[in-house]
Parts: sequence; structure tokens; C-alpha cells
Amino acid sequence: MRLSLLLVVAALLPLTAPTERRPAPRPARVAIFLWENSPNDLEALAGLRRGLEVMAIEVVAEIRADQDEARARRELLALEDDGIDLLVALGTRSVLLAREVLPRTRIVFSAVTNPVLAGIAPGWAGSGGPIAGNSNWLDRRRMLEVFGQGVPGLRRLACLRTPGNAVSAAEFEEARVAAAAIEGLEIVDAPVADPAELPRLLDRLLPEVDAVWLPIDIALYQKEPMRVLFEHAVEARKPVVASVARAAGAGALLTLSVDYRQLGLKASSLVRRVLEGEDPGTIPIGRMSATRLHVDLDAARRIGLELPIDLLLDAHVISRREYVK
Amino acid sequence: MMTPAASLARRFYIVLFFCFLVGALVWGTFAARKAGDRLEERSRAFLEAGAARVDEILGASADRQADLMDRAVSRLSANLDREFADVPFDVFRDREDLLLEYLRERLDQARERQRANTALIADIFREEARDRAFHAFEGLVTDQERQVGELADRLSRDLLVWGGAFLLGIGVLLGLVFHATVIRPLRRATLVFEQMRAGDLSRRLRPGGGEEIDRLARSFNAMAEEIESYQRDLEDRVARKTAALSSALAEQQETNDTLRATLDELSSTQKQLIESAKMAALGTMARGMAHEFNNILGGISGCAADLAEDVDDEDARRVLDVIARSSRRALVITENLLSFSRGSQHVRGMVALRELLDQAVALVEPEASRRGLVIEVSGPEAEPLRTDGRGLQQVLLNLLINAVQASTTGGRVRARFLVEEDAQIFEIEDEGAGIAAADMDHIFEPFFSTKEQEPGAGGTGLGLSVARGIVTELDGRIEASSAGPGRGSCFRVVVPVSSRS
Repeated sequence: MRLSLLLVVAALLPLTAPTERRPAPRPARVAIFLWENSPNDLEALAGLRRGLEVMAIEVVAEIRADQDEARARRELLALEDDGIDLLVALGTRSVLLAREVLPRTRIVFSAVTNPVLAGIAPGWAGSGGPIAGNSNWLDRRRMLEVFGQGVPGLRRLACLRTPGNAVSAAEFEEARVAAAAIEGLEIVDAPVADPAELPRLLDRLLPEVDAVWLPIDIALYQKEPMRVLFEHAVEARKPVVASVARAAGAGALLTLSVDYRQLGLKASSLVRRVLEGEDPGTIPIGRMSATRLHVDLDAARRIGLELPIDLLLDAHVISRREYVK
Repeated sequence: MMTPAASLARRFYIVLFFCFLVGALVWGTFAARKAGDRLEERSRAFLEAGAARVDEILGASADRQADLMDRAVSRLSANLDREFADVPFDVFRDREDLLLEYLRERLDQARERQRANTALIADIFREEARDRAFHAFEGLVTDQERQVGELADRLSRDLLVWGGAFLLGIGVLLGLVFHATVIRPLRRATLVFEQMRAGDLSRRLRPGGGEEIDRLARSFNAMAEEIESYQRDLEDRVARKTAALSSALAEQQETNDTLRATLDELSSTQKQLIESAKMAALGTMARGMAHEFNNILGGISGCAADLAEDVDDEDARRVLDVIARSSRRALVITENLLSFSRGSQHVRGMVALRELLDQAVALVEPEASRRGLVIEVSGPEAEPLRTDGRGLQQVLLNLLINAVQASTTGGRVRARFLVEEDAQIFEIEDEGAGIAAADMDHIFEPFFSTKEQEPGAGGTGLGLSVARGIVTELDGRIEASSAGPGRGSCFRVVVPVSSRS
């Protein structure tokens, strides 16, 4: 286990060779903006701060809007008046508002699910503008591999989503393409226009699939739709897997997400690059290669599923509230 | 006298108690030892099976634990690769110390996570092993219970079989004892009871055979003595009473017979009195009437006879003759009536009855000739009898006249005289109207007549009554017979020869 660590250290040795030190740049003035204090955004913030601290980049302001747009605008405008070099926006709404208020300010974003769909960037290759950042968008193939590990014999995976949601539509499409490369796996589209139709849909759908996947779809991540979904799934003894951290502990067997702290730390790297003069519009939007796996043992026992030990060993979080005899 | 044996019940209970005690001891010892051996055997088997299962489960658990550790080591390595893949090393470009610190931090987190996951999985393994052990022991206990249950059933069965056999033996033994000491004496007693019931009161029970039986026998014998004595006394009294009753019964019977005879006599006397009263009444009436008519008729007859002598006309003479004849006939009737009313006023003399018959026939012949009848007379001469010739003649005249009146033209009347050793007999037979069977009993009653009433034919119904009266007074009898209406009649007058002297 220490071999990997040694190799990493060895790889870094050249970087540590005493060479000619560059002159310290003018202290940059960096501000941070959060639209809401979601757990993911706060994790990202922690990582970002750590990175900036390591790089001795001073954060001159930290705006937490608490979803108050007027105040957010006001404070953002104040930042412009103060003359900041870069604004780090955490979360999609933060980025969009910051870009609107401060169109000429360089922005580095993080904890944005899909910046392309959000209109932040035209593509994953770069924004083409004063914006760079990274996303918590998952690698679908990796996601499907993990799902397959947790649900033995997974052949038909239903994707439950609302038709008008672009993010879940994009997830579904990517998953469908990725599934094509996995032998024997099919992603079944299960659009539900009205959450009230969910019971009928599930009664028809559950007997025909092996598991149900809940992508990032805000309309379905409400209390009632999730309750209906998990009740039906338990009754049909079918697992529910999710690609949103919110589903962890709510009844989903497996929940896949990213290390938001690591994501924020990686965003600090982008801050340095932009401050050092790199064109943010040319920097590809970063994505995480590693995922965080949340396993709910109670959900597994409710549907009579025995999870592989390797999956459990790989999990970042294992939930077990009920005593297992 | 043999003293009775100890109480039967006491003996019986003592024997029963000892038998059961011995039996229970023997069987209990045997059964307990056997049950103990089997239980020990079963328990040993149970423990061995339990130990084997535990060993198996622990072994499997250890294998799983070992496998888990192997997997944990291999997964940690892979997970660390993933962990470090996203590290932005450029952030730590000038701060290797911080990088190391960060990496160590990440490593520790990964290890801690791995350790926690491993511990969790091991905990799950333990729980599963415990669960398996629980189920295994549950199965063993169930199996043990089943075997113990089978053992208990087998013991119960053995107990039932052997215990039953033992009890059966005890029962047979007790039965034999009971039979000898109780049943046989009771049967003997029953036999004696039945013999006594059949009448042999001299039967007695033999004392002895146990206190209860001895007491029973003595009591019974005493009772039998009393009964026998009482019966003898009773028989004597019954005999005496029976004799007295028989004597009384005989007296009563005699009295009854006397009463019955007296009753019959009274009844007959009553009838005779009634008859006599009736006859006396009739006689008085008839006498009165006869006297009156006699006088009248005597006058008519005399005048008719006188006129007939003085009249030359044949027709007138014929008429007067008819008047004379009719009046004479009427005189005969009144004479009969007077005879009936006079009753027994007969004058006896020596009478030749055959001659009497001829005389009577001669008197009736003119009337018979007029009717176109023939009267045949037959019979021998006989010694005269001392009797009432006039009365007998009246009888014969009545019978002959009745026969002539009953016959039709061209008929025949037979008058026979028969002589027997103790009687002389007249028989008057006709071929005329005959007598119906219903009238046969009444023809000798006064005023009874079967004749059709002809003008001037007479027929008061007294002729036969008078005839019977006369014949009866002469110690004779008159009998009538007929084959029925239209088939003639026969009258028989029997005059006994005792009338000869």
C-alpha cells in the first residue's frame, strides 16, 4: 500500500529540486461566491480554501447569498468596485449570476453539475470566455460499472426522469451510449411527466427491469416522489441506484457522487492557472476520475440482496441503521 | 369349631400392596437405568454434534475473515490509486511538505475507511456466523428434542407393555385368590339360596373360609332355621284353616242345593196356583154361561123335536132336524164347558175301552158320511178297565169330531185301539189340516183353536183342554203329533192299566 505513495513522491521529486525561484506574483485578489450553502458547495469551498491557502492566494471576500438575489447582486457589484482579479463561483446558479453581474470578471467555477447544459460553456473543451472550472459530472461508464457491481445480473436499468429536465436527459443519453459498450446492459427510458403518475408507472415498469436509476432530476428528488419510488421498489424487491448524493440514506441501494472537497481543491489549481495568465476560455472543464460510493446495507437487506465484499470495501460510506442478526 | 381366618379384605389389600410395591421397585429400577443410559447417550451425541457444527461455523468464519483481509489489502491498493488520481499536485507545487501532509491525510482517510469497512464486514460475518450457529443449534436442539421425545415414547410404550403384562399377571394372581376366597364361597352360597327358594329349607352354608364368609354363613344358617320353623308353623295353620273352610264350604253347598230345590218347588207351585186361579175363574164363568145356554138350548132342542113330529113337510122337517142337531151340538159344547168348569168330577166303573171306541165312532159316523169321509176302526178286544167311561167317551168324541172337521172330502180318519202291557191306547189319526209346529205347544191350552170359524161349527178351543184334563185325572196322558200343516194329525190317548182295579 505504501508503494503508490512512494511512486507519487518519487514523481514529484523533480518538482522539488532547488531551482531558480520565480518572483512571487502580486498578491491576487480572489473572491468566492456561493449562491446557497448546500453541503456539496460547502465541501467544495473547504477544498478550494485549502488549495488557495497552500498556494498563498488570499481570499479577499466570501459572499454567501443564501439564495437572496438582490443581496447577491449588490455584493457582487461591490466586488467589482473593489477590483478583484478573479471570482470563484461555487454551484451553477452562482456562476450564472456572477457572469451576469460581472461579465468581464474572470470566473472559476466548481461544483457545477453540467456547465454545458447550464449554458456556462459551449462545450467541455472550454468556455471560450473568461470562465473556467470543473464539474461533478460523473463518468457514465464508471457509474454503470459500479451499479453492475452492486446489482448482480443487471441487464435492464430504468432511468426515471422528468421529460423537461435537460440534466437528467443528458445523463440518460450518456448512460445509453456507455451501456452500449457494456455487453448485455440496456438503459430503459422511464419518463414521468407528472409525479402523480409515478405509482402507475412503477407498477408497470418494475416487473420489467432489474433496477431503477435516479439521475439528477430536481422534480423527483422531492419527499413524496422519493417515498413512492422506494416503497414500490421495496415491494417489488428491486434496487434503486442514484447519481445524486441526496439519495444516499433515503433508500437508494447505491449512490454515486464525487469528492467535492477534492473538486474544490482541483478548482484552486484552476485559480492559479488563470491568475498566472492562462486563458480561462481555453482550459477544458475539469471532471473527476474518482467517485464516492455510498452503500445502504439496510436497503440491501430490505430487498434481500447480498452485496459483494469488494463493493463494500470500495465504499466511502456504508449506512447501517438497523441491527443485522 | 374352626376359627375364621383373618379378614379377607385385609389379606387382599396386604397382598395387593406388596405386589405393587415389588413390581414398582423392579420396574422403576429397570426403567430408570435404561432411561438414564439412553439419555446419556443422546446427550453425548448432542454435544458432539454441537461441537462439530460450532467447529464448522468457526472454521468457515475464519476462512471468510481471512478472505476478507486479503480482499481488503488488495482493494485498498486499488482504491488508493483512485484516491490519488484526482490530487491536484500543481497546487502543492512549491509546498512539498503540505503535499506530503495532504497525501498522508488522504492515505489515512483511505486506510481508516478501509479499516471501518473491514470491521463492518467482519461484524456482518460474525452476525451471519452467529445466525448460522443459532440456526444450527436450533436444529440440533430440535433434533435432540425429537430424539428425547422418541425415547420418552419408547419408554412409555415399554412401560405400558411390560407394566401392562406385569399388572396382568398380578391381576390374574389376584383373580385366582379372589376366586378361591370370595367367588367360590359366594357361588356355594348362591346354590344354597336357590335350593332353598326351590323349597328345600333344610339346606345350610358351611362356616369358615375367612372371617367375612364365616360370619355370613352363620348368620344365614340362623336365618334359615327361623324360616324353616316359621314355615312349618304356617303350614299347620294353613291346613287347619283349609279343613275348616272345606267343611264350611260343604255346608254352604248343601244349603244352596236345598234353597235351589225349594225355589224350584215354589216356582212350580206358583205356576200351578196361577193356572188354578185362572182355571177357577174360567170355570166359574163357563159354568155360569153353560147353565144359561144349557137351559136355552134344551128348550130349543125340545121344541124342535116336538115340531118335527107334528110337521109333514119334508123341507120343514129337514129344517127342524137341523135345528135339533145344532142345538144338540150346542148342548155338547155347553156340556164340555160344564165339564171343564166342574174339573175332576169323574165316575169310575169297569169299562171296555174297545167298545167305547166303537160307540164314539157310531156317534160321529153320520157327520163323517155327510162330509164324504171314511172312518176306519181297528184294534183288539181288551179287558175292561176301572175308569171313567163317560169322560173317555167325551175325549174320543172330541178327537173324532176334530179329525172329521179337519179332514177334507174323500179323506180318511183312522181310529185305532192298541193294547200294551201297562196301558190301553186310542189313536185318532186324520189326513186333514194338520198342526203347525208353533201351535203344537198350545193346542191343549184352553180357548186355543186352529179351526176356521164356520157358521154353527162351534170351536171354543176347549175340547182338547177338556180332553187333557179328563185323561190326566184318569192318570193317563194325551199326545198330539203332526207332520205339519196340511199333512194330518194324530192324537194318542194312553190310559194306564193301573186303572183296571
